[in-house]
Amino acid sequence: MIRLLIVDDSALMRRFLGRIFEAEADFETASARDGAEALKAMHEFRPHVVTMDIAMPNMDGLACLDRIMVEHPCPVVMVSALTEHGANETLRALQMGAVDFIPKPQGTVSLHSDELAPLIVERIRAAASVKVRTSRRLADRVRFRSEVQALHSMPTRSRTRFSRGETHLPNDCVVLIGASTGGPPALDAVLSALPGGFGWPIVVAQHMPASFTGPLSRRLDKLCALSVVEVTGPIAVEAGCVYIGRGDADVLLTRRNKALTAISAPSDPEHRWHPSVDRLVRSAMDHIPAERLIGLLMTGMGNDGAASMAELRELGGHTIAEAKKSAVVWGMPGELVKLGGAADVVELANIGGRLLELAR
Amino acid sequence: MDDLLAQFVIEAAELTQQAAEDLLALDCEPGNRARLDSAFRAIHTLKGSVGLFDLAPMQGALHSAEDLLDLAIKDNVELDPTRIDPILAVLEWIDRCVQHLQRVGTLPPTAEDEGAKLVLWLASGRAVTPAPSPVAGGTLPQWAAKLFDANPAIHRNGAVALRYTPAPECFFSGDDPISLMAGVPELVFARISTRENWRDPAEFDPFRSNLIFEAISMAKRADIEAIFRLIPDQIAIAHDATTDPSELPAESHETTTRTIRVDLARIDDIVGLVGELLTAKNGMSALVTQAQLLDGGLALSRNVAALQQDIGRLVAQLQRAATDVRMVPLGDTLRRLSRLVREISGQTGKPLQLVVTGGEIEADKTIVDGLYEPLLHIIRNAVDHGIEPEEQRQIAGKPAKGTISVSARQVGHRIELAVGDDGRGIELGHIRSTALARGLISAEAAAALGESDCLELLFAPGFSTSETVSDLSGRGVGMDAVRSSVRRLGGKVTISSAVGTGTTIVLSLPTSFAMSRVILVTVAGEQYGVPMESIAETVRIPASAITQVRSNEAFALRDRTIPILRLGDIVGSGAPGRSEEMLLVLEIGASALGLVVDGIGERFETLLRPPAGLLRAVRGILGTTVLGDGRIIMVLDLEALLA
Amino acid sequence: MTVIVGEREIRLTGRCGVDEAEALLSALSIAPQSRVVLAAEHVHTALWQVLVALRPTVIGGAPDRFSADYILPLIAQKDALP
Repeated sequence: MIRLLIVDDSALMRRFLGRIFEAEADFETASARDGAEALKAMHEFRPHVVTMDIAMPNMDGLACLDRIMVEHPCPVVMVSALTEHGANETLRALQMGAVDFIPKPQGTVSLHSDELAPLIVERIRAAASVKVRTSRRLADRVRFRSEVQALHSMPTRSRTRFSRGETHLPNDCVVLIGASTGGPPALDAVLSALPGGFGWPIVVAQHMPASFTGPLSRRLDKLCALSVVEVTGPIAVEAGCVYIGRGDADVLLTRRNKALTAISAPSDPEHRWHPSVDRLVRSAMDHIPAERLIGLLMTGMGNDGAASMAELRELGGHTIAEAKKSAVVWGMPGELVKLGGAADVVELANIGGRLLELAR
Repeated sequence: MDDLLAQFVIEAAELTQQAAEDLLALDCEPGNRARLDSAFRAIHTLKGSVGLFDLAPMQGALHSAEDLLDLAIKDNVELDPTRIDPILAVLEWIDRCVQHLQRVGTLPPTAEDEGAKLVLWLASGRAVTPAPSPVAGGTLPQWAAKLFDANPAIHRNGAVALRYTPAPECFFSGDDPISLMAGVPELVFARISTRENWRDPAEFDPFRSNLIFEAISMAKRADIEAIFRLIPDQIAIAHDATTDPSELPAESHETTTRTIRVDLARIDDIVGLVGELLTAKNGMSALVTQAQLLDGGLALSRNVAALQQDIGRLVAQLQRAATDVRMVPLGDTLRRLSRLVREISGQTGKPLQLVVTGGEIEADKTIVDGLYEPLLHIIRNAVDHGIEPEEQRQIAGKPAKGTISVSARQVGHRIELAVGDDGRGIELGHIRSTALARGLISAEAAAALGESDCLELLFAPGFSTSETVSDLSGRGVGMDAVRSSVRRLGGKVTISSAVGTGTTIVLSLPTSFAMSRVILVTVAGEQYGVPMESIAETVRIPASAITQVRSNEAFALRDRTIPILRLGDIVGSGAPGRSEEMLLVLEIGASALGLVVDGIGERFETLLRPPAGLLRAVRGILGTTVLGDGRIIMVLDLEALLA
Repeated sequence: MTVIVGEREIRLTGRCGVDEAEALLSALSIAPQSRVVLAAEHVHTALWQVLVALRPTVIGGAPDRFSADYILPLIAQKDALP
């Protein structure tokens, strides 16, 4: 039996989620109307997983999450509005230890509850099996707090730009990163470990809704020495920069006038998650020799990126899978390991260092 | 109705009301951060709820409203009326949509259009004037006129012009504009232009749509609309309708309202029973507590509580349904005014015209009926004191005919009825001297009065500014009578005036007699209900803190000296003072008052029954209500008691 | 692949979906003199746009009347679009 606590101030939303999980035989649900009730229920109901609304009266979702992480560590899935504001709050929540988020239903034709229900159940089920590591989460939280201060005390920063010059071809090396559930904090850990002079451009496919990747890019840009941008149109890739593919679409590498260019393309329905890691890696292999590519597959549900990165390794590229120990969900990296496609299996804390060695 | 949708209807009403209240509070007090947060939360939650259903127009408008509030919170700016107004408009519109949804199960057919307009209004901070209706005939938009002009060979009759501007991001939502265009039947002309110049190949984004299509088709407008129904924001369709009778909206047979006549007393019986049902439901709270005390009764108490919640929901629905039955359009009363105005015009020899708008707005029958009397007084006053004699108007350069306008509009859960005249306005000096002459105020006080305080004097009992007691209004029944009859209906009256251009009196009334929150108090062994809305707080003070000010009592609360009255004295069962006194602190108008009671009991929500029978003659009784245990108690009208 | 890049020509075949637009653009920017052979049963607007913007020599037939009547002439136009 999986005990699910639904925290939402809207009775309707509680009912909507409650109804979805009532239909699942192995779920038992309880609900709370605000943060204070949720904390009480953490004690009495002892849930295995929590869905948490953000905007609530009395104690809001973030404050409640913060307390849960200290008092009753438990996987928490945020229920997020697909707005800029919602994205920023969700990213903060993920940084504070929430394992995943599900979008609030949007009422578009494609998001009817029958279609939405299996997706939500899958996400919550996966989240329920996540082991929340208290000690690490606590450390993260402390770090998160100091970062927030850093964000405010770091108005400008000088960046050394690498001029590409005309001898660009040998420089056409790229790091490709794929991540899903648990990805945003992992990206933060990897990217902030890299110096501003990191010699390879980095292209990231992080599964996310469209409205989230902009805020994610801006947030990472503030936290990292590298400059981080969202790919919304064609943009020539340069060393020292990180390119985050816009959500709900795919991100591809192509060549324009010989210059390596990242571009945002309409999502290909053949792939289930977007931006698709497989599509990114394959587009890169179309334009760059495999030995000049590094594929990094991090935490996430499912198997996106495993097949293409295994191919990449076979063709002579280097691949890294995040180790089980640090991954929030060891789905995608696990598949890559299973396929024999991971040249390295590295814990999150050491991935930055490994990239530095490889990209020398 | 799907139970999720039913719950949505209830929640939506609560949330729109909450947000509307917050916004109205912000209107008076723009810096109130708590109100701003609360409004944001309500709209945010509402948007989340709307997301569960396929209600895209509502979603869009709420989304924009939320963005606006979000921005205000983030940038820490105060909301000015130009931004509050469109949000309130959205809330009102949402209310209407929800009502329609509740009645018919779908959004009104105009929802998409209205939603889009509201979004534009929110974005620009300006009201969007409705686009000329395409059926209006001969009013082709400019682009369509140009398109037809470029093709003089095409006969305009029956031709439909379309302009399709695909959103730059449309490929990402799966659109294929040329496929859509290829599907337009009976195309006779098309031309393609670009949104912006093509970029050079290095920067060219093949996934951004850059094309604009304009075309003329001989097909039926409806068939073309069907092709583009999913992208109404990207398409404009126009046709010259002057000669096309087939496109006129057909009489719909489904919308014919079927009605039966019912004796109002029967409906009132139902409303009364609903109120009692509600009270009975409140009684279940005691059961929950009792069950908790039982051994192992926790589960039972939880079940009872859940059941209570369900019943509460149903009762609320029933109450709304019953209230709805009593709703009638304001037009019922407003229509009677034109006769009145004609009569007055005849009596005074002043030519008059009456302009009435908003007659379709609905309110409880008692309120609509009760409006006639105050409106009569106001209009008589306007003609008598406001509208100048014909010759004076001519000198002032005004039209000979005086205009009285009565316009109603719905503002959240209230209606606002503005009665305006284009007469001479009210001179404050005149009010001051009259009030002085009537002995209503002292000379110093008169001199110190500000504009609004001065206008307020018009509402003082016995105030009449007419020099000659006329047949029409100068009979001492002035604005005070208006105010008290409006107050009986739960409303408020405000007045504004500009010398030379006219006076406007605004009545703000509830649309129905809603639930009241009541607190129980005990005095000399008797229980009474007091409406929560007038109570600011409750305090307990030692008797020694009460000081004697002449013959009255008072006490100090946070640097404010507050006069004290004993409820026992008022209801005629005085009790000796005690060492510690319990007080309700009431805010009435701008002043505060302490009311001594013996004890304070539970608070609950209830439907007040208007006083009936003998009680009707008793001053200071707002109504009666039934307690959970069946006892009937009187709810006091404190404002009347203390007046 | 529905965009087939040959030595002197680029063939569009089958149903050319939106995702092929970048391939077509890339092929045309590498070899601007290539002619484009239309042999597809459906061509997405994104690909038409590339053709309208770059105006290569196009032969073959359009898959529907609208593109035949209004898009092909646009690609053949020698003056740039406004």
